[in-house]
Amino acid sequence: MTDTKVVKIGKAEEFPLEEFRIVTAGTRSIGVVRRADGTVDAIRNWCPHKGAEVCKSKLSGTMLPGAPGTLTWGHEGQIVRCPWHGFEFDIKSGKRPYSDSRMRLRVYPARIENGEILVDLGPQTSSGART
Amino acid sequence: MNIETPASRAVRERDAGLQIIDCDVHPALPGGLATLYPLMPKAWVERFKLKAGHLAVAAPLGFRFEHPSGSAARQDARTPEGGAPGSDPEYLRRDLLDAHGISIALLTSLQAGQFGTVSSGPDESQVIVSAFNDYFLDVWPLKEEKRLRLAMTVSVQDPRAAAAEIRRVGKRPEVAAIYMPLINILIGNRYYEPIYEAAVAHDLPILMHVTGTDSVFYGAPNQAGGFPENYPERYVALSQIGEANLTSLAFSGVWEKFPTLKFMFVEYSFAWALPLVWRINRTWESLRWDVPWVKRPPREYISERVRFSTQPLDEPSDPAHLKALIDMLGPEHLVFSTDYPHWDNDMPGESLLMLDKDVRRKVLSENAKGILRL
Repeated sequence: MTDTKVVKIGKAEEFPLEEFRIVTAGTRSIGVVRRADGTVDAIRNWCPHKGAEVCKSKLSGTMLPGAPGTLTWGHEGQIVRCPWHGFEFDIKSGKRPYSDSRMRLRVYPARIENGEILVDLGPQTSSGART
Repeated sequence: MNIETPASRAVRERDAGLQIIDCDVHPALPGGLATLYPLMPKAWVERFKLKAGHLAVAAPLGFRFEHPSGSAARQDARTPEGGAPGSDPEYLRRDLLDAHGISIALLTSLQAGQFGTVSSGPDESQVIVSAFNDYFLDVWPLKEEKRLRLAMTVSVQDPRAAAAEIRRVGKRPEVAAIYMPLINILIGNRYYEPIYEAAVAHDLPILMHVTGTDSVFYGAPNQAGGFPENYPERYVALSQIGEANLTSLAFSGVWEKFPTLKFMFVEYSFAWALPLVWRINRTWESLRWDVPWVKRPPREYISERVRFSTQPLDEPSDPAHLKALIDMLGPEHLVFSTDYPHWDNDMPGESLLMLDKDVRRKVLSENAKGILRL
């Protein structure tokens, strides 16, 4: 049987705004970002490229595609750039921006409820293993 | 009794309907630079006479890099009168086109390329390459012999003058490509933009080919790591120049400015391109944000806009390994070339026989039709 497993990971007010805080949920390391608008982003602290702790980084923006010799900054606060090889990911979708790579960050739905941050770890088997 | 030769096999294939487009054939002047004097303005002729231009050798490699047999040109390709290999269009027609079943041969003058890079001055080189272009377009029988097409030469020492030369002769139907002999400015550099604009306007690809000045002349492309000691070292490492320039193209954003511009790397070989494109793409995946003008994975641009000539073919002990490499690289990237009349030419009847028939057909003819202006 499968079900989703929603876990409480702490009081929202204890989480800094707009930066990663790394927490442990079961056997997983998760990076959580509390947003100023009251939403929450959560991703697995694991780079799908080489397994680095991708949340040991500052949330960033990135350079938008543009004409040669010009630079335009965008996606502020939405880009996770792995500290190892520089691979960038969109924190919302987990996808690599502007790449056709199928590599994805594991993104967990998260929210604040009654002052607590809740993270949905996704489908679980009855034994607790991920499906 | 018919004796089986590489030539007879190629002719049999041609007769069976296989077109062969040879993207690298080298014509030569029968009498050195003085051959071109009738095609030059008088004052320039006088200048070249004063400089003993009749003795000028385009780009002497120096004793260090002289071919171990004394010449990189095949001595068995000398004309019946004993002239320089490649100097007689009638003999070239018989010895290459007829004998080896070549449907179209792209003529690239290395002599013009050598004068057009650094072995003559910026102004001299413009006059000389223009005369070369006129010589092969008007003295050689290109109007009548549709199997011969020219890669017109430009001098890259003055890109605006090079663009003017493209506008002068690039519309001629006998011209199928632009030979851009390299200097030590990588081809992704904005320096070349006037040439690229003219190339796009004339729907002509940019063709690069080793010139003979490489690693010999100051201002020419130099090979990495140090100065080679002898001909074999220099010969093997010439592919480094192709690698450096492909890398430059990949990260430069050239294709954002000139989306339809195509490039041919001729006689740099091609096996190196497979791991290099892997590395270019992998590095872009990491560091795209440093070159945001490269909007798509660079392997896509390369696949659409770059072709490599097959010669000089690498020959692993198991031909299946080369077949596997071509499969990994993608055979659509390759255009066939002989390099006639040079010592290391690959003749079609004995080349790439390990490829499946439809793949071989693409490499021998179809791919070239997709990049040359024929």
